[in-house]
Amino acid sequence: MTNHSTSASGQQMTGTIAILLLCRFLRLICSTMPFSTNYLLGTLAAAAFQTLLLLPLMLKPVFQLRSPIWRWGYALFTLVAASHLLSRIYALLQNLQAAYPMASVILCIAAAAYGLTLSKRATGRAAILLLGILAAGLLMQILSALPHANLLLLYTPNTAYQDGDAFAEGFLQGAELALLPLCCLPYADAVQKRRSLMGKWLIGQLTLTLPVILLGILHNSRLLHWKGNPFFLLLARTQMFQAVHSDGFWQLLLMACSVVCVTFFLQIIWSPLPESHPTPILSLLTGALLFGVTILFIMGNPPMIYQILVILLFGFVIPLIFFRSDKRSAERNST
Amino acid sequence: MKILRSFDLFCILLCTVFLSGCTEVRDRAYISSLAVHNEEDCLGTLRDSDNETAFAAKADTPVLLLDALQIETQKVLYTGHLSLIMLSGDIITALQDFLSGQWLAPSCRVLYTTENAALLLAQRNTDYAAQLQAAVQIGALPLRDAAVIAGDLECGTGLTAVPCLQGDTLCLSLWDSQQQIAMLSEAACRGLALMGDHWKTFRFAAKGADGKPYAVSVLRSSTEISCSQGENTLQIQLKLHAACKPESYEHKAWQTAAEQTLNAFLTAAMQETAAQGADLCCLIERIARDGCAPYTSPTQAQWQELLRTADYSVSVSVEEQK
Amino acid sequence: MTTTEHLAFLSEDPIRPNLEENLAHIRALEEGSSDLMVNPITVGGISCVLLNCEGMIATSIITNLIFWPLAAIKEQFSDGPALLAYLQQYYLLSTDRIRIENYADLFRTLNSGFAVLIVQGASFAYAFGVQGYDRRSVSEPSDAVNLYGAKDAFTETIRSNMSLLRRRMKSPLYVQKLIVCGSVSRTDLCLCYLRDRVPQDLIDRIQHTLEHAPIETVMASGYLRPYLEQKSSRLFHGTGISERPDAVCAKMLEGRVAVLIDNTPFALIIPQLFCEPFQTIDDYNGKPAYATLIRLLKYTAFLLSILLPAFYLAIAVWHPYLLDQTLLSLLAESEQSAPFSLLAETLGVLLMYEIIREAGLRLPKAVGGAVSIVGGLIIGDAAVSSGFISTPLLTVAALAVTAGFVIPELHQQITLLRLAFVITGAVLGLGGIGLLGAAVIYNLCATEVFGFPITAPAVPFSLRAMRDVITRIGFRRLSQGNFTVEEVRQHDKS
Repeated sequence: MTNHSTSASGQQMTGTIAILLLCRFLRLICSTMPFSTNYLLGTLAAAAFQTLLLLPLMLKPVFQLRSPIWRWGYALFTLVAASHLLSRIYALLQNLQAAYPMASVILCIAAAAYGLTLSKRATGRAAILLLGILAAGLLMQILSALPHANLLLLYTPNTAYQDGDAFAEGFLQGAELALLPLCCLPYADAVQKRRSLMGKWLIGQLTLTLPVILLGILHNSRLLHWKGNPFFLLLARTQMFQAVHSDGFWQLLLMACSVVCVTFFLQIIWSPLPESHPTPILSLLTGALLFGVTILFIMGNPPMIYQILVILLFGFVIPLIFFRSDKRSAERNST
Repeated sequence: MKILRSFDLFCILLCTVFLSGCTEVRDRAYISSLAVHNEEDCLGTLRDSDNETAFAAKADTPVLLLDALQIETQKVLYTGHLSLIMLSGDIITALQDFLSGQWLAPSCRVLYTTENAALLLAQRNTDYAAQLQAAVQIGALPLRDAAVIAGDLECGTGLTAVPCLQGDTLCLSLWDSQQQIAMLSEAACRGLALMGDHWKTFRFAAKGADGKPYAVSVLRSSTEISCSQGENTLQIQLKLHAACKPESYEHKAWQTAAEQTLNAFLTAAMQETAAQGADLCCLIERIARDGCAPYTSPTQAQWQELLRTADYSVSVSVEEQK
Repeated sequence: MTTTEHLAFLSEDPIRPNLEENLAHIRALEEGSSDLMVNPITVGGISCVLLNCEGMIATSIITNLIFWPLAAIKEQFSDGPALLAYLQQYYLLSTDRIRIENYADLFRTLNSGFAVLIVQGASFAYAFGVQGYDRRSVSEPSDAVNLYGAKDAFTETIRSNMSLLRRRMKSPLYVQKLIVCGSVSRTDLCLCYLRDRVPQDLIDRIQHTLEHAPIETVMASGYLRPYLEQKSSRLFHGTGISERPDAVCAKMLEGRVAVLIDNTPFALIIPQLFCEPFQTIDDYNGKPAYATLIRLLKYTAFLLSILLPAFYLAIAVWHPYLLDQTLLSLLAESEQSAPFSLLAETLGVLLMYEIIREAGLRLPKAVGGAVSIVGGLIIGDAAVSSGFISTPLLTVAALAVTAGFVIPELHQQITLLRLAFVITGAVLGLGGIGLLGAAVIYNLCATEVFGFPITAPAVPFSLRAMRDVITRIGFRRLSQGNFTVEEVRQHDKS
C-alpha cells in the first residue's frame, strides 16, 4: 500500500506565504498614491530590502518566539498592521461609495473572529484558493490593459511633492510585512525550506505588484488629479469588454481577501505557534480590540474618552491572551 | 462556539433589519447626459436613460445644480452611467467641481459648446456621446474624456484640448485653467486623431492632378517623435509612416498627394497645439526620454515656453497597401 | 435500565443449558411478541427447539435445508453439545451458520431472519441463514441517472448489496467487514475497502466511530453521517452517498471506504471531496474533451445557482454602473411598477420555487403534474402579468434554480447559500457577497473527515488528482499511477 502522506508543515508554510501575498496585494490596491515611476522604484527597493533582511534570519533563526518579550512585540506589531489595513479598506470602501463601509468592516472582523476558531490550515487553504482566483483575474486584466499601454508614460515627470512620497509609499507597503514571514519559523523544517519560501515570497510579491504598478503607469501616469482609487481608475480605463465591468469582481475579491488577512493577523496576535486555538469569547474580545484600534486609525483624532476605552480594552485583552498562551506553552513543556 | 455563532447571526440580522433601507431601482434617475451652462448662474439640463425626457434647473454652483435637478426629477440622481457632459461658460471650473466630488466616471465624454449648453440639450434630442464616439472612430477627433482633459491641466504644460460643438460641427478647442485660448482647425484635429491611434477607419481626401478630391484610406500608421537639442532651441522631429490605399488607382501620383495631405494634418496639429504650448501627444515624455529637458523639474510655465520656442519638422512616408 | 445498559446486560447473559429455562427466558425477554415461532423437535434423542420470526424466513428453504435433514438423523446422541458437534461436522444445513453464545446475538440473528436451533444441555446455539423476507429486486437507480453506466442500484438488503460489489471487485484484496450499529435496531453495517489502499488505522477509526456511535437506530445513511463527519457546523459533507455499485467501486479504487447499511439503498463513502459531486460515471464513457466541457458546465452551473440572484440584486441596487446601459433601462422599466422592494421580490420568488418543488416531490405522481402546471404556468405567469414580480427577476431566479438541479447532491447547500447570498447582496452589495463568500470558503477549507481535507486536490495540491477534477484526461493516462486519497491526508494536528 502506497503511503504518500503530504507534508502538513510544508503546506502550512506555503499557505502562510499565500496569506502574506494577499496582504501585500491588498495594501497595493488600498493605496491612494497614483502610480508613478518613483512608486515602482520604491516597490523594487522594498523587495531587495526584504531579501537582504530575511535571508540571514532564515538561515539562523535568532528570534525565540516563545520568549514573552518577542511575543508581546510581535503581537503589538501585528495588531497595528491589522488595524491599519482595515482602516485602509474602510477608506477604499468609502471612496468606492460602497454600501455601509463601517458595517462591512464590522462584519469582516466578525468573519475573521469565526475564522480564528477554525484551524490555521483552513486559513492557509483559503488563502491559496483566493490567490489562484486573484492570479486569474490579474491575468485577464493584464491582457485587457496591454494593447493600449503607452510606454512613453514611464517618462512622465512627477510633480515635486510626489517624488519622495511615491518612493516611500512603494517602499513602506512591502517593508512593513518583512517581519511577518518569521511566523514560518515555528515549523521544524522551515530552515531547510528557506530558499523555497523566500523564492515564493519574492517572486509572488513581484508578480502581483509589478504588473499592476507598471500598467498603472503606462495608462494613467498623467492622471494625477484623480480623487478616486488608482487601481480602480486603471480598471475603469482598461475594460476588456464595454458590456462587462471587472470592478465588481475586484470588490468581491477585496472583501474576501481582507477576511483571510485579518484572520491571519488575529491568529498571529493570539499565537504564531501552529497548535493554539482561542476560545470563542476570547476571539470575540480580540476582534473587539482590533475594531477599537481600527477606529483610532479611521478617526485619526478621536475623542479622549474613546482613546481611554481602547486602552482599557487593550489592557484587559492582551494579558488574557498572553496568560492563556503562556499557560498553554507551560503545559506543553511539562508534557 | 455557540456564542460566536450567535454573535455572527446577531450581526447579520442587525444588518438585515437596519440596513435594508437602500435606494431601490425605481427610485433612481439614471442620467445619460448632462449639460451645464456655468456663468453668473448655473443652468443645467439632464436627460435620463430613455433620452426622451429633459429636466432643467438652476443653482449657484455646478454641484448644487445636481441637488436642484434631483428635486426636478423627484428621484435620486445616479451618474454612474453618465456618458456625456456638455459644458459652456466657465467649463474648467465646472469640470473640476464634478471631478472632485466624484460625480463623473473617468470615461465620461466632455463636449464644449459655444452656445448655451443647457438650452441646447433641452431643445435637441441628439445623442452627442454617440456622435463623439463615431468621430473618434473615423479619425475626425482624438479620444479625449474627462480624466484625460483634467489630467492635462494638472500634469505637463497645463493646457488641454476639449471637444467642441460649433454649430453642427465637432472640433477641438484649446483651454488653460481659466479660459479658452484657441479653436483648432479640422486639419489639426485630424492630425491629432491620427497620432492618437484610437481610430478604426481613417479616410481623407487627397487632391488629384485635376484638382478633384478622391478618398485615401489609412490602413495602419506609426508615429515616431524624437527630440534633440539644437543650437539655441529644442528640435522636435515628427515622422509618420502610413500604409494607405486609394479608392481608385487611376491617380498616378496619389502617394505624393496623400503624403502632402497627411503632412498638412500633422503640421497643423503641431503648430496649433505644441507651438502654443499644449502637449497633447506626450511630447514632454519624449523630451525626458531623449534627455533634452534643460531643467531638472520644470514647471508648467517652463514646459509651455520650451514647446513654444521649439522647432518642429514633420516628415511623412506613405506606402501602398493593396 | 436504559437501552444501552440492557443491551450490555444481554451481551453478557449466556445461553442456558436447560431448554425449558431457555424458552421461558426468551419469552420473558420478548414479552409476548406474536411473531416469535417456536418449533420443538427431537433430533437424535435430544430435545431441541427451532426458533424463527414469522414472515422473515422462506418456508421452502427452512423445510428443505433444516427440517428434512434434521428429521432424517437416525443416530442417537448423549447430550446436546454432542448433537451440535455432529451437525457442525457432518451437516451443512445452511452456508450461513453462526454460533450463538448470548441472548444479544440470539435476538439479533433471530430478528435478521435466521432460524436459531437451541438444544437441551448445550450452552450455545446455532443460527442458520434461511432468510426469505420480501425484498425489493435490483432495479435502476432513482437519482444518479446515467446514460451509459450500469443500470443496477443498491437495494435495502445488505447481503444483496455486498454481492453487487463483490461481483465487480473480484480481487482478494477487497475486504467486506460486517459490524453492528444502533443500540435498539442492531443494524448490520458492512465496511468495504481495498486493504492495499486504505491504512489499517483509518479502518480502525471508522469502525470504532460506528460501533460506539451513541445512536439507537439507523433508518437512513443520514443518521450516521454526523458521527463520521464530527463537526455539524460544516456546510458541505465530508462523506458521500451513492446508490450505484459501479460508482462505489470506482471510489474504493481511490482508497476510500464504503459503508453499506442494512435497510438502506444508499452506501456511505468516506471521504468525499468537494469536487466529487461534479463527477459522474458518464464522464468516463465519452471523449475527454466532452467530459471536460460538461464538468466546466457543472462548475459554472453551481456558481450560477448560488450567486446569480445575489449578483443581480447587488448590482441592481448598489452597483448599477456595472450593467450595460440597455440592460439597465430594461431593468428600471420592469421594476417601475413592481410594488415590493427587489429583495422582497427575490426572496418571494425563490421561496415560491422551493414550495413548488417540495410540493411536487411529496405529492403522489398522479397529482404531481398538476402542481407543475399550477405553480409554473399560472402562478409565474399571473405574477408577472399582474406586475407583482418583474420578468428579468423571474428569469434570473428560474435560471438559478434550474442550474441548481445539475448537481442534485449539493442541492441543500445550494438552496441555503443562495438565500444567504441574496440577503447579503441586497444589504451590503458586492462587498457583502465577498464577505460571505470568504466565510463559506473558510468553512469549506476547514472541513476535514478523518484527516482528509475536502478541498483536496486543489488545496493541498496534487497534480495527479487534478487530472480528473475540472478536466478529464484520456483514460489510458488516467489509469496509470492511480491516485489514492491517502496522498492528501493530513497527519499532523493543528
